Amino acid sequence: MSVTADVLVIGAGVLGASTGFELARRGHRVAVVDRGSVSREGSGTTAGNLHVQAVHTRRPGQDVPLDARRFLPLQKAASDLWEAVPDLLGIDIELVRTGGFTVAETAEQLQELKLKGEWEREFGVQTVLMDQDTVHDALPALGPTVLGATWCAEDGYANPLLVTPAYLNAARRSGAQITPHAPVTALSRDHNGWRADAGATQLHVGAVVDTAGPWLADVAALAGVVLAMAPLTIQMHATTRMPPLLRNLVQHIGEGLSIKQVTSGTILIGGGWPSGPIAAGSRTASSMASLMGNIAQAVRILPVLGQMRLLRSWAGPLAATPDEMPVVGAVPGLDDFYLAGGTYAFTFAPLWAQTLADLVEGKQPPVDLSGLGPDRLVIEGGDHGQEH
Amino acid sequence: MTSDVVIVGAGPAGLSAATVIAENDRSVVVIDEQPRPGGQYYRQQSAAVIATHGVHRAEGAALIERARRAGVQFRSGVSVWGVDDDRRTLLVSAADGTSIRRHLAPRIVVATGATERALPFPGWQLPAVTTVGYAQHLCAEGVRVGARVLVAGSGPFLLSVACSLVGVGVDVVAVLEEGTPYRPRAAGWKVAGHPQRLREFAAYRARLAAARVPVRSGRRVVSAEETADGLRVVEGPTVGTGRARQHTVDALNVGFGFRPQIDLLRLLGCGTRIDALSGDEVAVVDVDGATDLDGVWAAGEVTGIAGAPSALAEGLVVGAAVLRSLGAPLPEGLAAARRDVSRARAFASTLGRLYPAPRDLAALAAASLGDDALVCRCESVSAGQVRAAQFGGTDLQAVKAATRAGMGLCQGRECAPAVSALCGSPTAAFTVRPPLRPILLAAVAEHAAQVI
Ligand SMILES: Cc1cc2nc3c(=O)[nH]c(=O)nc-3n(C[C@H](O)[C@H](O)[C@H](O)COP(=O)(O)OP(=O)(O)OC[C@H]3O[C@@H](n4cnc5c(N)ncnc54)[C@H](O)[C@@H]3O)c2cc1C
Ligand SMILES: Cc1cc2nc3c(=O)[nH]c(=O)nc-3n(C[C@H](O)[C@H](O)[C@H](O)COP(=O)(O)OP(=O)(O)OC[C@H]3O[C@@H](n4cnc5c(N)ncnc54)[C@H](O)[C@@H]3O)c2cc1C
Repeated sequence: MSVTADVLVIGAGVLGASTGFELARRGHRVAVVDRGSVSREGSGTTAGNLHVQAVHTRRPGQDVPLDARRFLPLQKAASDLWEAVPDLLGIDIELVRTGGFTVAETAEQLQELKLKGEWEREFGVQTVLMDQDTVHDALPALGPTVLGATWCAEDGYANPLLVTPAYLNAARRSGAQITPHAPVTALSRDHNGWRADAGATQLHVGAVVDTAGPWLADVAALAGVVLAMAPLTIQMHATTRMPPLLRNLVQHIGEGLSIKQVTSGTILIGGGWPSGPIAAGSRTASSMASLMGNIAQAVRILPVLGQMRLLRSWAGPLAATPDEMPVVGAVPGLDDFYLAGGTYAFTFAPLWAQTLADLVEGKQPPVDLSGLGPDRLVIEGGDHGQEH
Repeated sequence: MTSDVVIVGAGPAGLSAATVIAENDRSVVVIDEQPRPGGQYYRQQSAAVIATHGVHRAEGAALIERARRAGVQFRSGVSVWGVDDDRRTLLVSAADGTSIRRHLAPRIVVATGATERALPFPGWQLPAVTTVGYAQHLCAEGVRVGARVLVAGSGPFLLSVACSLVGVGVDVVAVLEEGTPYRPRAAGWKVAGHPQRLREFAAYRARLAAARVPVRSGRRVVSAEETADGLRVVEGPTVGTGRARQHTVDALNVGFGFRPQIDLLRLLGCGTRIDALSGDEVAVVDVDGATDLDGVWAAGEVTGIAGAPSALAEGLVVGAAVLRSLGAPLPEGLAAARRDVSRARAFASTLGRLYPAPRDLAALAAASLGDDALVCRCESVSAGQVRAAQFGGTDLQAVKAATRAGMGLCQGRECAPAVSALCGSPTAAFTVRPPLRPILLAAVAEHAAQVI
């Protein structure tokens, strides 16, 4: 089958889905393809947290800390955009914004909370620093090791299993063509656009958007540019369903930890603990060491969890960069080729969708992208390759 | 806790492997989550029940006694829920998910048996609907599942359970078999090559005939519904049109055969294959029961459904292979056990061909379901929701993600065949992940404090 479109979006995770929707509703003819089923990789395994207050800087085992201050204007912009997402998609995506705590257990971590509070004020993110008594009054379930916390009323979460399909459905309603089980295996440039092989389909398109998540660099390589990416896998844990007992997101400033109770009643525990070697199809094995580490830490912070039952763990792939920062922008040396990915892509989905659509249209993106472009990751090909 | 060999599963396969290993002076621990050894076929009743009703299967009790005398150490009421240290350690907990322990396991025999295959129909979630296996276990304890009972589904096990029900005084109104296995045809003659099993079969039929229990082939349950008088069950023809009948009973016992319980094998990382007739995942083993992983063997129904005699013989074959890996001489009876295995497997596959393939049964069940019928009972997911899973396609995992079917307490053990049939998936196997059983978070935290 042969298809002509304005834009080909490669990868039907949350970024491909939201970008496909954004482009389609702006009137572009869009084709979204995925190698496998939609929403099965990072976006089908994510914790689904909307991080608005500054994030902790290291996952367990992470070498390079991320630049939490650089994240803040992006988080603020994404947070504002999320408000409109349920109405835009027209279905209940179980978006809950009941706020979140980031806890500290040491004097050093309390210092970090203060510093992060200064950054948050600088970028207009509202947070409240709470001392030990205040935070235990606010959330009596916290364990005795918690010495303080910051509270952010805009933190929240949505159900990722609903979000990406909802974006794809909305994109389809706006005229986008969604094709699962169509791996892109070849990309070539001709005088008026890009040619792509995607499974049984040959596409001829004006522009390419690469949102292949952990395989972002593999897709760019098909176009001749070698990018340095450092994909990895992380793990989640779920309890059996419980009656409502936790309304807020709970995170940790010094360690990878996130805890919340989702609409089904299940309590989800994550925080970026590493799992087994990366494998497509979400078949990456869970790690027992991470399971134990993450659960022990969660029970320490919220002892009430001890009486709950762990039902399930799972693992998913993440498109991390060597500097742990997101990557978004035009690929140097390639015409009409854009990409977005990297950590916290769930939170950033509505923002990266607008950004990519603006870039495709030659407009000014909604946020300052300096330092986030793919240029910093180019090893070979594109402009960089020509220079050498 | 260390031993030369750890066996998971104290059914016929695990028991016979343990016995031959211990009788050849190697140390062996048998872990089973049931309160007493025996597995499904040799399930042992509590002392109180035995005092009133006698021993249910004496040969099982004798085998357990022989294993004990040989020095087999049983750890009953203990579940294996995880694997650690690059597969050298099994993580176990009390069956209620508390108090975690580690078992060093240089050699593992996985003999985790099978579970009953469940298929949905409108009303299958009602409390008066149980599996045939559950009814059978109640019979062994002298308990009647109801005064008037209908037995339905497919497979030879229905006859055996109906006889047990009759034996405890239940009025079995009928046995409905979805296939037509009892009509003579070419495949049927091969069964004649197994006179002993054939006699067993004939005895069931004779017993039911004597109790005037009709066995109706080509008939299935259309629906079940609670009424003031009891459970109203509508039966109809499996194919085509035919007279519907109604029964009012205390209980409906349904069974569609067994599915290998491969969860532990999968967690260990052993190779499996999809059985074409059932869509179920089955262990891949060689003639000695060795898996593709060093030091891991599998025996019994986990390698494919072939009945208790096969499980017993396989246990001996695997026990011999384990002994060889420990440098022990070959035990007696090995050649005979190998012959028994191949005979039992041949019988099972001939018998299997007389009955409808499980995949066809699941497909029929799925196709007959109205959109509002429940498919996943844990998460209350209807057939319509599975059908409407727009982007799931035939990918079982994607349909699970889209609908929550299979995410509940049973982790898809119950609904996998039906959900896979509804979405046209070639496999009925959800991804296996730790914990294999729900486990208390406090127990994990306490254990982590000891090992990390
Ligand atoms: C366990 C876990 C927890 C997380 N928690 C959070 C969180 O709480 N908050 C947050 O903001 N972020 C979180 N993240 C990160 C974030 O969720 C993910 O980064 C995000 O969902 C990734 O979306 P994506 O669209 O970039 O990539 P993906 O969802 O991974 O999608 C990429 C798609 O590209 C497809 N693809 C690959 N190669 C090809 C090809 N050649 N042709 C066609 N298609 C191809 C893949 O099949 C896949 O579907 C988490 C991630 C994980 C794994
Ligand atoms: C209710 C019922 C009745 C049956 N009746 C008959 C019959 O009459 N005739 C016949 O031929 N077959 C019958 N079967 C089939 C039966 O499964 C086999 O014939 C026989 O029991 C198989 O032996 P096995 O050793 O492979 O497994 P099983 O006897 O099934 O033993 C497996 C054991 O492993 C244990 N186990 C599994 N996973 C774990 C874990 N993670 N941790 C700890 N322990 C674990 C289980 O508790 C179980 O005791 C019946 C099955 C069922 C379910």
